[in-house]
Amino acid sequence: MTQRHITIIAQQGPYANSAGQDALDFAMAMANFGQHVNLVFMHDGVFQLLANQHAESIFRKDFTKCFAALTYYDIEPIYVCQRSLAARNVSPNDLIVGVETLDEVGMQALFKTPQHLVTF
Amino acid sequence: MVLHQIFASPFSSPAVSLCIEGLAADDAILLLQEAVYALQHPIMQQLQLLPQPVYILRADALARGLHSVSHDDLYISDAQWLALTLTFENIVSW
Repeated sequence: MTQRHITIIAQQGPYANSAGQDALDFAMAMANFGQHVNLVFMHDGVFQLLANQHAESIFRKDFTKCFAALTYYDIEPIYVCQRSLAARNVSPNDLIVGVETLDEVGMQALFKTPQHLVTF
Repeated sequence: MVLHQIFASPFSSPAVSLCIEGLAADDAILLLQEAVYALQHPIMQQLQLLPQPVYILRADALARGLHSVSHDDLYISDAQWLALTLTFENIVSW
């Protein structure tokens, strides 16, 4: 199968709807089919990566614990928009996994590379 | 005497600022679901300066990893939320 570059953008909070879970499922499915996946968190999507989430308090499954497994799917680094983090007063140290932060130039470069761009 | 329940994240919705604009003296604001991200937003300072009570649903903040000691006085339990809905004459959901 031809390998294609797929960039997946997660831009919503983790529990408002199923978008966060869907982005993660899609990323892992594409990686399983041998595609090259870039996973990017921006806007409220950066909140998905916060450590110390307790989804059980609203009777939801904490899918964000699965981010640590992405390395086994060769989905790394995990990209995060620096600007979105700063606007939300979130430091990379507050996050559940190690990430690579991207400034505007880095984000623009990431949007140019892929053959497919999917937002959740 | 209205309880304003805000559900939307202040980073993607103007609901919190619109609500503040039209707030009556005996109203109150409750932040729940995505609106608890106000804790990370500059609008929080404005909310804390209001003479009206502002509440945050503890379960939603806890779920999102936002439960901070600094705003401990604002958090309410689900049971307290229920009590509020019975206290206020009307409820507006944003």
